[in-house]
Amino acid sequence: MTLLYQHLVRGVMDLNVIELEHLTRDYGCGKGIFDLSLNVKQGEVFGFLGPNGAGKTTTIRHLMGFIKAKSGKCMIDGMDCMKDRKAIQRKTGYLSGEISLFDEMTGDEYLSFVEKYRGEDSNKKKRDLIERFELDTSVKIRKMSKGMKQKTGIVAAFMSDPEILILDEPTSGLDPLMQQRFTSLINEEKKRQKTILMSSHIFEEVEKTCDRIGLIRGGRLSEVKNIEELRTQHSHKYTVFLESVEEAKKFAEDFKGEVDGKMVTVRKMQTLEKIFMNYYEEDENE
Amino acid sequence: MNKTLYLYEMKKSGIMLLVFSAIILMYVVCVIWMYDPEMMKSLKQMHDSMPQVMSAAGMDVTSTTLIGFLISYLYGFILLVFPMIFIILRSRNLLAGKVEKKNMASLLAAPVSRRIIVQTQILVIITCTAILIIATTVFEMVFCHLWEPGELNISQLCAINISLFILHFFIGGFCMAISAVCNEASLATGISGGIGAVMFLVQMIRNTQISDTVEKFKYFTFFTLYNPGKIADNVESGIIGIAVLGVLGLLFYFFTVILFEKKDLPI
Repeated sequence: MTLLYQHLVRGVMDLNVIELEHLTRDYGCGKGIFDLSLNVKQGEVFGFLGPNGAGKTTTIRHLMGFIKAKSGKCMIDGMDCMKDRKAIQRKTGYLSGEISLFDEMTGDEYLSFVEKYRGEDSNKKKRDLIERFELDTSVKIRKMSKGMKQKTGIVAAFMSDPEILILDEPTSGLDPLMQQRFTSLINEEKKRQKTILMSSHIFEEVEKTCDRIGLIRGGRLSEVKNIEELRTQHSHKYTVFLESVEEAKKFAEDFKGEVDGKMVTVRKMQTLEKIFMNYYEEDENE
Repeated sequence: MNKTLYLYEMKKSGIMLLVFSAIILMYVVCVIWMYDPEMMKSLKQMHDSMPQVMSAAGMDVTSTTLIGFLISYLYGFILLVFPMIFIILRSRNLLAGKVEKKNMASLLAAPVSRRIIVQTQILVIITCTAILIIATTVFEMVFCHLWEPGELNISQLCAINISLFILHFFIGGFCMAISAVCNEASLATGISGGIGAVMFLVQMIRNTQISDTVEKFKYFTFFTLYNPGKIADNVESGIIGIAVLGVLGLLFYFFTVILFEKKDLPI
């Protein structure tokens, strides 16, 4: 009943699951994060983009309660990320940017260690994920490639079926096929109303999965944009007249345009990559 | 305590525990094998000829009983240094090493509080220390019984070994506190190993008793607080020393928990 109520309230009020308010942490020499505020709502996938050293991982460390907020607030589900870490972690899955597991264990041993350590039984979901990512869990982690370790980390993060997922560069080291499987996994979880924050460098995956994107530069959040908004802002429209209606139809089919008699309208969207490259370059020129 | 983590760490301690028990076993066997009231006389002569050198290694020939012999040849060096090395090496990986290798993140990304994690790791180091001391006690009892039946005073042996455990309990607290502060395993080993070595060196110099100044060195090493000879004889000052070590040890473990709970982790 309370759960239903929560769902109703969430639906009506669009409750923020992840909330950062004026979060600041100065490491000196311009490093750190400054006055960072952002919200992620339930069921939303938020992409966190930015060049190396921009403060993505520092922000994620705050969310995971690895470091204390020096000033500002850092909350998940209305709870303080440092003080209430235990309660928050019960419903959170985490994938570290620099994956480090227990080297002397095999993949299987590691996953069941995590399961027992968390005090949860997640066998079914675990099997599904292992199958989905074609992971050979009998290999010792020390002998695994970067991609295999990454897959093991992904399975560990998702297997407890958490409501909230914090993923730091989740597809690094994965081959294109596995990246695709990861994208579809994210989209499935999104349909199941999971709240996801992920940092990434791969524009394609962000484009395919995220609802909103936050761009971080020099520790400051410079832009938070809806992905559709970004697309329309950065798209060009061309109208072409063709000789016959037949040709117009074919043309529209080949170039995914809209037909109106002999007239075809095609839209060329700038890729996110290009959009962000512009942002990054701007930053460097400043 | 988290049982899964505890069992994992204990399993990981296994080989090291075996190696150190084997080293201790070897020395225990050698020393008990050496015990011979006749030979004690020649050793005493040797000691008289170069008292400083023998005393520096903690080998004082003052008593000719078996327990006195064990105290002279085991409790002045072997049983102080080897368990200490074990503790320094093991404690580095329990906290600092996991932060350095970043697999502490796996432990923190779970509904397990930092307090539980650090308490579990503390319990691991205490269990390991207890295993080493119990193994020592068993070795001593078995070989004394085999080769010198009836010579060993069991209650005296238990008293000195329980206090030996408290000494290493204290060292464990100290090393864990260092491990909780450091973000790198090598730094933790450097600090705890460095301080341990200096303390032991001071103890060795002090043992030579060559001058009054050197005698004052006893105020600069925690090993002074452990005096097996006095404990075996149930002398009050020996027991007070051990009580102080026990209390300091508890304080260090307490600080370990506080420090680890509050610190920022670069993982």
